[in-house]
Amino acid sequence: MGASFSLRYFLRIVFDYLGFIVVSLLIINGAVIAYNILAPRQYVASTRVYVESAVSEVTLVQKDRPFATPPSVEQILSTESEIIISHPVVQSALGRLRGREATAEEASQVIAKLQVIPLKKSNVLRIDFQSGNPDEAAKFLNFLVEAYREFRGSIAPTGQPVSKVQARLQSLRFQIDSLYAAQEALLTSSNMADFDNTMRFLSQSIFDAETRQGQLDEQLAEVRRQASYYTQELAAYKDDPSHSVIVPEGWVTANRTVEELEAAEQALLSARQTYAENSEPVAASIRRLDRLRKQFAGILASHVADLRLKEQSLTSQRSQYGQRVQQQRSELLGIPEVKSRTQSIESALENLNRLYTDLVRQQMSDDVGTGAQSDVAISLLSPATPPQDAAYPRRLQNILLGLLGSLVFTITLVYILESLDTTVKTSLDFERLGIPFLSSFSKSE
Amino acid sequence: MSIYKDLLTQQGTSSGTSAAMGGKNLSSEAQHLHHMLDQHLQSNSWVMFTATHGGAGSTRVVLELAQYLSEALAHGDQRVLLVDGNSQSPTLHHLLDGTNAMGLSELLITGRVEQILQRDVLPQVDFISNGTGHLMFPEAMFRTQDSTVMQLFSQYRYVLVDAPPLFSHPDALVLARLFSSVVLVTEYRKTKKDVLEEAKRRVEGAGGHVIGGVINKLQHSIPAWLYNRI
Repeated sequence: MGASFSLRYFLRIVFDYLGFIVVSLLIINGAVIAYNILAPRQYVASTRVYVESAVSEVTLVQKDRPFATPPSVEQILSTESEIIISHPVVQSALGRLRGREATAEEASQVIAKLQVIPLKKSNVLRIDFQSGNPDEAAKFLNFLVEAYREFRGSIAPTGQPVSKVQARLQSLRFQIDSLYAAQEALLTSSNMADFDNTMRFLSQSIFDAETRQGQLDEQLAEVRRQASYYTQELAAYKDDPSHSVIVPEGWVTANRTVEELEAAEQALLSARQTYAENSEPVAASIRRLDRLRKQFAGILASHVADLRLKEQSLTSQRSQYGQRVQQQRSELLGIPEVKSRTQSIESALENLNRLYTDLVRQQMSDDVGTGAQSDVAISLLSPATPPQDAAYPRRLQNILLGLLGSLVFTITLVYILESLDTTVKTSLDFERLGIPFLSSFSKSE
Repeated sequence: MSIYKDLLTQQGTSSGTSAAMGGKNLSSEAQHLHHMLDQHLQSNSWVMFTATHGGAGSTRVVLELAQYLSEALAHGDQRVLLVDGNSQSPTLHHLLDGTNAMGLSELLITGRVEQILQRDVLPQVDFISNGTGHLMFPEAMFRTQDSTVMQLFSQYRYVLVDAPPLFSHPDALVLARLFSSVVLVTEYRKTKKDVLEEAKRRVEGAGGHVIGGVINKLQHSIPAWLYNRI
């Protein structure tokens, strides 16, 4: 019921607007048909050329361009397409067709009707030319191919003048080499091939040196304490020979002298008990005791002197370690700066290298485009022949599109008109307003 | 016999046969209206037909319904009273070959039924024209059960009143209040929905009750042979 109603509703709208629909379709399609009849016929002649490149990795190396890559088929075909539709080629072809020299303006008009299409996955270029005269279209295309081949052959081989690109390349090469040298000098002067390892090594070395400094400080303090002690003991001993000086057990010479002193003092005491004070044995014992006392004082003085020397040595050593720590700290602090400078140099090198490579490629492309005679081989695959049928206007396509377009246009317009129509048309209009629908009466004739 | 009466007679005789108009004929349309009216009428069978605007064709709808009822009630004793309440442009008396010398306006004033009632303008159908005087509607005459008008109306199975367009004459709303059952007649693709909604609102505001709507002058754009197949 719903579907039936919908169909009836749709058909009612169609028949209500039938006149409008028919007129609209007639006008639009009439216009399309008129265009098909009245539009001037255009013929498209076509020809094909085969283009092959002789540029390879080997030839590039031979040309001293190891950085460059050989051009792809797409690049070659694109370049050749540009050459074919260039003004010199088209003007030359036009001149042959018309028997007089063609102007640039005429060439521009012809170029607008020329189309060069690289065929996919091949080295073939299809050249189309559109004209109102089929014979003229074919003739022009054949002249165009002839002019193109001649033009291609007339171009000078590459490598003759040093182009601006080459000058730029040389400049870039110089900059790159300079940067490499600067980088190497920096790394050599700072002896920092590996920043992280160097930082680790310096840190460890500073730590070791500071540890050693601590040990030296302790030794120095001990030496100074001993030197001070024995200086005081020596002074006290000189003032009073009976002053007892404590000598460590390991100090053999001093201990032996102390033992001899004790023996000498004992001998003097015995001599005085046995002999008179002015007797020879007593005098001899006194002399021996004095000699031993002077000897012991000399030993003490020598020991103090040794301690002073040792103190000087330790002080010197500590100073050396201090200087070393200071130097290594300075090196450690300078590493980030060196690293930063190296990185900036590397970045600049990378940019210059990329620029250099791009320029080399550009030069290669320019060389191919401007034409090494031996780099590109051109063969005519099929000469152009006058087309039998007109390519434009495309009647069937235009009629189908016109029909489709007019239908869409008309349906849209009818839909809009129906949407804007707020008059009463069906029982639904009553039901929506809450008014029972009773009946309808047809229009009397 | 008037031209319209001739036309109705012809349509009546040919109903159900060759007078098909878009799959329906006049008789079947009026029959459907009669059937629907019977479903929606409540206390009495007094119905007022009014259009939202002039030219929508309420007179035509009333006439065709009267014609149908005339045929439908031909073999019984029930009768139909047709009243021309359109004081703006009374036309029913022309169409029914009657007279407008004395009508509803005179009936309300004088109460002389026999002089005003035009009997058997169609079989089983009596007619009261609009009259020449100005319509004065003393409501008491309608509302009082023993009033002359009430007594007259109560003798008929159906009382059909053709009222003036709702938006062009104030009598329409007065009649709507008196007759309470109102049928709104619209014209196909002419009457706007918002106008119809406003008409309903006005009738209800005046105390009337819209029992339904009719589309007049419907154009069956789909050919009958196609319409009957879908």
